[in-house]
Amino acid sequence: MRIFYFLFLLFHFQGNVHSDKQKTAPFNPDKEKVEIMRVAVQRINLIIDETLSEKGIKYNSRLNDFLFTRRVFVDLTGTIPTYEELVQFVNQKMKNKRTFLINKLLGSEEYVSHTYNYFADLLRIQTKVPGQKTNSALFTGWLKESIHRDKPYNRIVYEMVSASGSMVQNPAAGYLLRDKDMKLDHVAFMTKIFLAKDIACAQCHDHPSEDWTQKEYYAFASFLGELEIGETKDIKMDRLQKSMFAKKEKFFHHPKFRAAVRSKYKNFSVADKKLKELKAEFKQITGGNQFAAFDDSDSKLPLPDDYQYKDAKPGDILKPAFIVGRPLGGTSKKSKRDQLAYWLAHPENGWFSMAIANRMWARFMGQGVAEPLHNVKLEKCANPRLLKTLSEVMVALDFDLRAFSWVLMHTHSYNRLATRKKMEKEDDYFFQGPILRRMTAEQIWDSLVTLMVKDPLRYRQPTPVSLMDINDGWTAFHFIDNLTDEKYRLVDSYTGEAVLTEGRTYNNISTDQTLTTSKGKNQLILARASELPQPAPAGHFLQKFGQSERLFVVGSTSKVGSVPQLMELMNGFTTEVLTSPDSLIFQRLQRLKNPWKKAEVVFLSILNRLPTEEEKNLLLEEMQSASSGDFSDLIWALLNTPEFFFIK
Amino acid sequence: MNHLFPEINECSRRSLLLHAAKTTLGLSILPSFSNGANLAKPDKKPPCERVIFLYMRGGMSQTDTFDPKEKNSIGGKSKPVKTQSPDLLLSDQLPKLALQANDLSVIRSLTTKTGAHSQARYVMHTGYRQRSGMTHPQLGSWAQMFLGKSHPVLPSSVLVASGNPGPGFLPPEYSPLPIGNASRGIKDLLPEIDKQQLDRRVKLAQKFSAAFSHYFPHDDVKSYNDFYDQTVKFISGDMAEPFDIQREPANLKNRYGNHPFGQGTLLARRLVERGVRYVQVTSSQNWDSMHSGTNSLDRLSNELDGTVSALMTDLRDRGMLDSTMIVVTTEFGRTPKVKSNGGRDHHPNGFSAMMAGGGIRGGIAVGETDDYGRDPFPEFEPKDIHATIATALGITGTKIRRLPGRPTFLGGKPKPIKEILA
Repeated sequence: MRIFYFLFLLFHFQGNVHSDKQKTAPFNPDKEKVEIMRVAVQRINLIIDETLSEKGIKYNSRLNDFLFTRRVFVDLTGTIPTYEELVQFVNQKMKNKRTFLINKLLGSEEYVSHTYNYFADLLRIQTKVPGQKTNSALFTGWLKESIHRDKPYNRIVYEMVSASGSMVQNPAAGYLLRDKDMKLDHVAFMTKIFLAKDIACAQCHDHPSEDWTQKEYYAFASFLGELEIGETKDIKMDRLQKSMFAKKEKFFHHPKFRAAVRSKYKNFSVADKKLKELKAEFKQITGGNQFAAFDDSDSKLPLPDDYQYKDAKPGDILKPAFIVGRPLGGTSKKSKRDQLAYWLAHPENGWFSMAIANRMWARFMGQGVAEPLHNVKLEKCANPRLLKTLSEVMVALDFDLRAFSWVLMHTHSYNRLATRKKMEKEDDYFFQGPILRRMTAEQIWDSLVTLMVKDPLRYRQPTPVSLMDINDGWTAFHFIDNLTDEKYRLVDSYTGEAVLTEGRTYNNISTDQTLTTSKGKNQLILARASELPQPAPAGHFLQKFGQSERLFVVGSTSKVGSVPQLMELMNGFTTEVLTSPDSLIFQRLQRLKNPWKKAEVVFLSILNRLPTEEEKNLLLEEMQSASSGDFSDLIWALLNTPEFFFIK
Repeated sequence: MNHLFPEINECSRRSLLLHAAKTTLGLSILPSFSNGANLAKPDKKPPCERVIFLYMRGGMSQTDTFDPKEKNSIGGKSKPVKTQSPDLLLSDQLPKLALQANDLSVIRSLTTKTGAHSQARYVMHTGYRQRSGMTHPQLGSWAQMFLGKSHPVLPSSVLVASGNPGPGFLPPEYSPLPIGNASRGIKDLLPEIDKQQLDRRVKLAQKFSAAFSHYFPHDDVKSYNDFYDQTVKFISGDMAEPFDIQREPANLKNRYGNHPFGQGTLLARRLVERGVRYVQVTSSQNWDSMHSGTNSLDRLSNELDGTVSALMTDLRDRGMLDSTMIVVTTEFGRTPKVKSNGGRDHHPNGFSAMMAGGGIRGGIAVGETDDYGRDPFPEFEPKDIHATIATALGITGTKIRRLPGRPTFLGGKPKPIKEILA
């Protein structure tokens, strides 16, 4: 007995040693912040209470524990809860258990993965940017890490907009590098995302229906006038950087580097060839052949040749000017781009705080206080008080998105059932509860993966090693290997081992988990959306359910149904996997004897609620019929109800 | 036998299914989805309601078809001959079309910016030059964007035996439905199912959907339920009828031609008759074979002449020619002067297209090239053909320009070819 216990400990201990799994602790803000959060909830409740009573509208009915669990899981972790998580919460007897759950989920790694999906969509992240040599792993790794470490949102934006260098030097530069050779388009995306202003039309002519003129567009874009994105070799490296690269380069001659390469490429002659290649790659990456963002004071952004208005001439260089709001100080000695980043992310930039507050509200309530999210007009907002308060809360919480989510999830509105009917007009909605929402493509996919395998986030894209992290031959190898390898791969975050590369199993997976599953040429990688190539390839489940193709900000994601989508659910490979004995949900059933209990588990696992009395009768009929054997029909049927992918 | 459509034949059934998954079958019926003003009903019925776009792959020789030249030294073996229309001469390679020349017109002064097959094909399919990092939509997807779906269940555009860039940057629901083998219709797209099991499961799902659908009488939920019904119809094979050309009379099938292009064109007619707005069919013969001589010319032109004339006759018999536009075009032309081996090279500067039917004036030639097939005047580009089709479909001015956050319809400033419009 004791020996077993010892072995268990040893095993357990080793597991932890090798794990690069980030530690998770529940969200636990300091007292002062908690106080602000509490007050914020009260203020928001008060405004909505008053508005509703003014309009003579009642709140929707309260959410029970089952539905509450489903909703916060989907909203915070991007997936429906597992059977165990659900039952545990519902049976829990304690005061404030909802707060407790919210804190736990806010601290989870799934929160990072899910929040990453949201921003990946907004920032149009592509794993492989067309025309660029290296992939964007360093940037996405940086973004996930920033979310994980609770970096304030305005800080994230500041770092992205002001970033200089290549992704190797500064991973945040990935944001600007994404839009190489499309500076003017980039500006239009930027205002939609960060300022809730759509000025795109003014890129080519005065905006016909709004105030923006083409001159104003160019004046704003002039903040990026000196921005250049070029090959690293064209950029003068300062002495400091040169010496750093030289210092890092020596690790490529370390015996461990050779050992690492050899362990990957078992064949010695292949490994030796690869060794040379990798060393050369390092030189290339640090020396050139990769893109970098930098400012060149000789670069200008002149008005276009076909500029047609009388207030300026084609070729004129404009003085940078903000398109909304007012200047907010900052040192003028810094680059123009830095001035822009500073102004953008400044707490007193009301457009910026409003834009993100409104977006976050829309994420959880199904609709922004003001719509459309990318072009808010204050004069048209039906509830300006609410919008203003949300913006103030965002600033008061220092752009801490976890804390802000916490606030929204504690409001009366959030804790109500979704509104039963669709509004005729968006403006007439006063948040008696959230809007009935279909889950996003990522939420549906991640939920299905949750039903298929245990702890799907165990398998991840390798955390990129940054240049700073190189301190021996191993890290040198991983740095270069991650960065130059354009192939898709995943590592097991428990063991740190590579388990999959480019859809093929790399090492044998010695667990009871199915990481990939295949039939003929088809293969599904059962990892969460955040760990798959971005965007998912054509024909992938995610794509059919409306994942953005990451080309545009507005109207790129879709939550609309289609026949191919349902065909996938009815007859697709994904459903086949779910209704097969290998799936997690099936394995759970196998441990049970009582058919009623089995049916209940299926209900709780998929719809996250108990069957109603009427449904119990249906179940009885079903169980008596000859065809019901293994519950695969019931699993199939529940997955194919609209209830499965709506958040009610 | 000529191995046809290698790119499709190589596709497995499954990958076709994946393509199909991107299509418009059963697109949204949500009012919120429609792009507001874009979908407003036109004041009056547009002259053209549907389009059959026939694509001659590999670069159709204009000299041997729609822009014949007198001079023997450059013309090769084909000669201009008189047609039904006094204002239009066609090559003697197209005798059947010559008999219907009053109903068709020709544009002779097309130019395109590139002489490489794939780039030029891209320009002809999208109106845009290819550039990295972005794919532009094909014409049928644009039409759906501006005019809405053409049928509640059927896709709004279908591609027969051909690749084009699909919906480009538009959402997947604007995708055309690709069909590899016209004779098999959508049989290759239908999943293999255990029908009994499906029926059983669908019934069960409907029962368990009831409570939710009742509690949420919401448009989004309703539309999902509609999609379920359509999907069940689709995968149980009830949707195969519009795609099944085996139901057409044998003599009609023969008239269209017993080759994939003929059968594909017949399928196109069957589909537009049932509510598909835009069908593109690619020729089974490859005009690129003209490099090595004009020996293949008879084969090429017979296919073109036979099938297109059969289509015109068939549409006329059904009273649909007035509202259905036929377009015959290609990526670029062929050098009017034959090479020493008797072949013809790529010729992007001065080639032809034929247009007929809905919205098109018949019996004329627009634009010209000089006696040597050069100096096209006035110059038209592929995007102008698109604009012409769009105008006939009732997609005009403001609609074309107002697409929030997206590049405009067609590259640069397209001009509809007014002379050819009825």
